[in-house]
Amino acid sequence: MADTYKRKLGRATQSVVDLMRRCVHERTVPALTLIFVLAVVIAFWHFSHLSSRLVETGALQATSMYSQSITDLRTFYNSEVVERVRPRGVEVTHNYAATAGAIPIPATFTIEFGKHIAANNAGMEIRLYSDYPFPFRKDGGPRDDFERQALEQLRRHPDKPFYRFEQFQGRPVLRYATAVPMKAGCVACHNSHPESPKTDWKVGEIRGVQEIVQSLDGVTAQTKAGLKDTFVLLASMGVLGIGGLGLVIGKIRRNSAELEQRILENITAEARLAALHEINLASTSTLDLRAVLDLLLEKSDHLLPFIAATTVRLLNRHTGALEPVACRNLDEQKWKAETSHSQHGIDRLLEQKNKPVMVLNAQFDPRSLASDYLRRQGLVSYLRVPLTAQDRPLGVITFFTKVEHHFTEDEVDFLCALGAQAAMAIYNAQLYAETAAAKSDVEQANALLQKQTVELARSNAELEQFAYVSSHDLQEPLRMVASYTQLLARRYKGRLDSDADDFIDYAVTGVKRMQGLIQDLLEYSRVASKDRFAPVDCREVLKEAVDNLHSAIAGSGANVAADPLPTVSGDRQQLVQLFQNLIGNAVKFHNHTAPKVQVSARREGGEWIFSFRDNGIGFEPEFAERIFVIFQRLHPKERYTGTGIGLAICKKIVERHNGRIWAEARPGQGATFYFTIPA
Amino acid sequence: MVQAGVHRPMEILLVEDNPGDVRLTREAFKEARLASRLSVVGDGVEALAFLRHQGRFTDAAKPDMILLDLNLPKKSGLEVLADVKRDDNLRRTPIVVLSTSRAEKDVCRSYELHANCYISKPVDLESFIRVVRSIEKFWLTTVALPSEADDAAAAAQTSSGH
Repeated sequence: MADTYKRKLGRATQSVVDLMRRCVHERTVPALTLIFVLAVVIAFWHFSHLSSRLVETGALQATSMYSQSITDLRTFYNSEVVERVRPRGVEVTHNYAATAGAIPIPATFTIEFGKHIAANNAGMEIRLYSDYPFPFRKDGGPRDDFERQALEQLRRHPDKPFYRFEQFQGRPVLRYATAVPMKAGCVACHNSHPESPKTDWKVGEIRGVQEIVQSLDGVTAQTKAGLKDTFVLLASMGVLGIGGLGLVIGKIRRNSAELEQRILENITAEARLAALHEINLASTSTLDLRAVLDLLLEKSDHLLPFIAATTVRLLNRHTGALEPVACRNLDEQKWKAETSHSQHGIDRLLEQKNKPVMVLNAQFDPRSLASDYLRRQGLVSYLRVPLTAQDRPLGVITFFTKVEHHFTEDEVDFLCALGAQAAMAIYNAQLYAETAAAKSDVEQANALLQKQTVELARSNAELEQFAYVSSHDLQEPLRMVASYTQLLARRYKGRLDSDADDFIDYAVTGVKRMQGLIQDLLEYSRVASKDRFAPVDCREVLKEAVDNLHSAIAGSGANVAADPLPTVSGDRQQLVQLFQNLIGNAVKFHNHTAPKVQVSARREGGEWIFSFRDNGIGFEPEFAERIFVIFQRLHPKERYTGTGIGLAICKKIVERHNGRIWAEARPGQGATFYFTIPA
Repeated sequence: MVQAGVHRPMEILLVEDNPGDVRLTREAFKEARLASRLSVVGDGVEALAFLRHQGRFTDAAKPDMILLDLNLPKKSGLEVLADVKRDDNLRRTPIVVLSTSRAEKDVCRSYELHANCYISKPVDLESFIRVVRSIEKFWLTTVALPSEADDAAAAAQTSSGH
């Protein structure tokens, strides 16, 4: 039982504490007012209690002093006046006023003195009364409860004054009663007085009671007035304090509310920034458009919870239509099916000048095309943000709400920023897709080219191998034909008829020519053979070439001159052949004047340009390229012998040295052959 | 040691499978007007049999010089060259490689196998006749070659030396 009670009490206490805490936290000013009023009431009650105590104590002290003084006065009067005049025959009587030369008895003296005091001091009364009053005293006996109790109490405890604060005759008073004992000087008189109702008084016996009634009216009123002032002061201070507190609390409340609002705004702004950043990051790190859109939709959903649905439609650049692409919180298939492809997508976007469009009630707004669908979905307001990147309209993103919502400037800004991010991502993804397509085209072309190059290289190599093998293998039978034809000519020339001699001559000439061709073809195919490049001094190359051409040069009386020549990286044998062919050509193709050949080299950029200038017959500029093609000849072989391979070999050698070869000429004005070799 | 070419015609072994070349060589020798006896075998195996007097060649004369083509059936010229130069009894016989090949590797390989000289067959008849004449002149009249008696002695010495 006790436990249950304790528990109940604990719960109650707890709930009270909770209530108070709630009150203090939520209704600070009323709570403070309540507490203050309580405090004032308690203080007032305390002050009033204290003051009445003080009043009582003060009254008690004053009254007891009065009482003592009056007792002392009576005793003093009795001993110093009555006792001294009585022996001289002065009458001592209660009726002293009516008797000449008489003085009052002590009791009457006291009563009269009391009356005198009472007359001067309003609210104070002195009474003497007894169980045995003299008959001449009209109200000498006890008149009320207090007086009877006082007589009884004081008889039992004569030393202890009997007092009480009470309403007396309609006003607050202190009634203070003290015992009046029978003194030695009084006993005789009392016992002998003819009207004495008791004649066996003994000294020390309680004769009666002296009571002082002290009115508390004035003091109480004064105290009350003071209390009132104090209360008014306290109350006004309290009102002022509470008013001030209220002001301060109000101010703090307002500040904190503002601060809260600002923090909330900051948090929102931060969250939005973070979202934008995240979307930005996603849009730069992934080219998967779908992933970016999903993230974007998720973010807008999360940061603006009142957005009930979001849709993204993109412009098809081929058809110019806005096509539904992605949505959130809608059945995507149904949405796509219901949303008519706007045929005037680009026109509409341009009409709106890429500004966001806010529609408060889309269900009845003529601007929304699918108002039926929106009605069914319960979508009311929307904000349509254009998606634009690099001044290129890409599509629109639309944010729907289920209740009418006026998008604030802040929200529009944020959603536009979201839209800009989305547009960037879409733009990147589209660009990537286009680039990827283009790249794959280029790659395919490259692969094809590479394949063709490889095949070409292989077929070239095969061709060269074929040329080498065939020219080599052709040599054998040719040698047979040549040798036996020559043997025939040697043994039988002039021994057959003249026709036979001619035939033999033709055969020999043809065979010799074929030998030359095959020899040159072999040389040509050998140029392809890979040798290591090494530094080659072109002066030595020239010397060797001239040496090899010694007989031809000497026979034609040619003059070969050379400027300083550099050292280049190359295949020495091939360079000798190159020089030899070019000089040989110059020497060969001359008219009647002695051939002159000038060999020069000059540095230009990263290469050396060699030139072989002659004073020979030259050729038409239109043949400048054709002369480097194998087996191409410009002149009848009866006049200028040759196989038509020499310049083809030159071209091949130069190209193998990563250079270019070309010729400039005019008929009859000589020719200049140029080639380059990297320095 | 005897100065060759004075008392008897020189014995020459031509190792050549192409009859045209054989004839051409014969004709070239004829044109050069040389007094020499030309024996001909058509492949590398026959060449070695001839040199070692084996089979049908038991009575074959020991050649003073061998003209060796490289492109031979059964056993190539280079193999024949290697075999001969490994053979103590045969290696003193000079071998002139006579090939249409001008390939560097054929030339090098031949000399590595101790061919005495390498001659590229000229395509021109006049040149060929000149070459044949110069071979004759050089090998059969200019240089000194070991006699048969010297040969036997040297062979015996080499064998005992082993």
